[in-house]
Amino acid sequence: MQGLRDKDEAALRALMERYGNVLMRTAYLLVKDKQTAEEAVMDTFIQAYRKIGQLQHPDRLESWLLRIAVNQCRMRTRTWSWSRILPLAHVERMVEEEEPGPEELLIGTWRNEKLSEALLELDYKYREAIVLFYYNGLNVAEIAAQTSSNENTVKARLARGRAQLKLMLERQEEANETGGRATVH
Amino acid sequence: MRPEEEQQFIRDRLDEELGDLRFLRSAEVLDRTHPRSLPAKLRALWNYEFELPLLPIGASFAVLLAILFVAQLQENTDNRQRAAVMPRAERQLVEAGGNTYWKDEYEKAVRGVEAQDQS
Repeated sequence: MQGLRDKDEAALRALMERYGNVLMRTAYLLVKDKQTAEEAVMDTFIQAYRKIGQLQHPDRLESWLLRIAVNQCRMRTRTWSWSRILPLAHVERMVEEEEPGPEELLIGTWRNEKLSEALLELDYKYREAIVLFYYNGLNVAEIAAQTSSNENTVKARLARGRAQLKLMLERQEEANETGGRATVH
Repeated sequence: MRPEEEQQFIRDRLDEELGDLRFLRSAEVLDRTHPRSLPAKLRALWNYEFELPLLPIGASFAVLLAILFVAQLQENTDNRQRAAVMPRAERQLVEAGGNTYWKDEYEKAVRGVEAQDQS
């Protein structure tokens, strides 16, 4: 950490070795493209190196890096939408009340399907919540802090994302079974 | 399976599925943060990102626009007031270059041209 503050090259190299792969996989799950993910992670490390002085608590280095990476991914996936002007947060709150809570297990419906492929099919906002929760191991409050949203929104996105993911995994399973039967005949 | 165990299980599964994805461009990062050759230094300088605070710049621009707008409005109002103060009957017509102008407007235009010539 001190090495980074001193702009030491070896410290930056060690930082990339330690967090590079996790950030790369997180970025790939968010932006759905390997090259874009690489660029996002590169810019994450460059920004972290230049702004290391802004990190107050060294023990929060990983979540600080993750926050920069998430912002880099958001910048790269940003498209104009009416929802920016008319936020539909209230719709998400309604969804939260109707669907299972964020802590409900996903694993029940999941067998051998490719989880990453199903994840990439989700809308960005649901994918972001699901990736940060499952892959990066953040809790609802941490995701809310990382994405500058409120906790209810995060809970709603997790619930909605999980519901969509279950549906996709079930479809994958059905397709696999149908394919399997066809092969047997 | 408890939620924490599920989280770990899914994380492991994703790590397994995405195992081939590795960050391999650390050399390019170092080239930008610690450029050695002259081209790399120039590239790093060219790609250097700086942030502009949007709010103060936007606010300054808005204030500048407001000042220009008010100044323009003031000038138009003055012209209209001058025309209103001087009744039509008191205004004189002059001829210049085969055209006819109000004398006060003509003198104002001449003064403007003279001022431009002097500067």
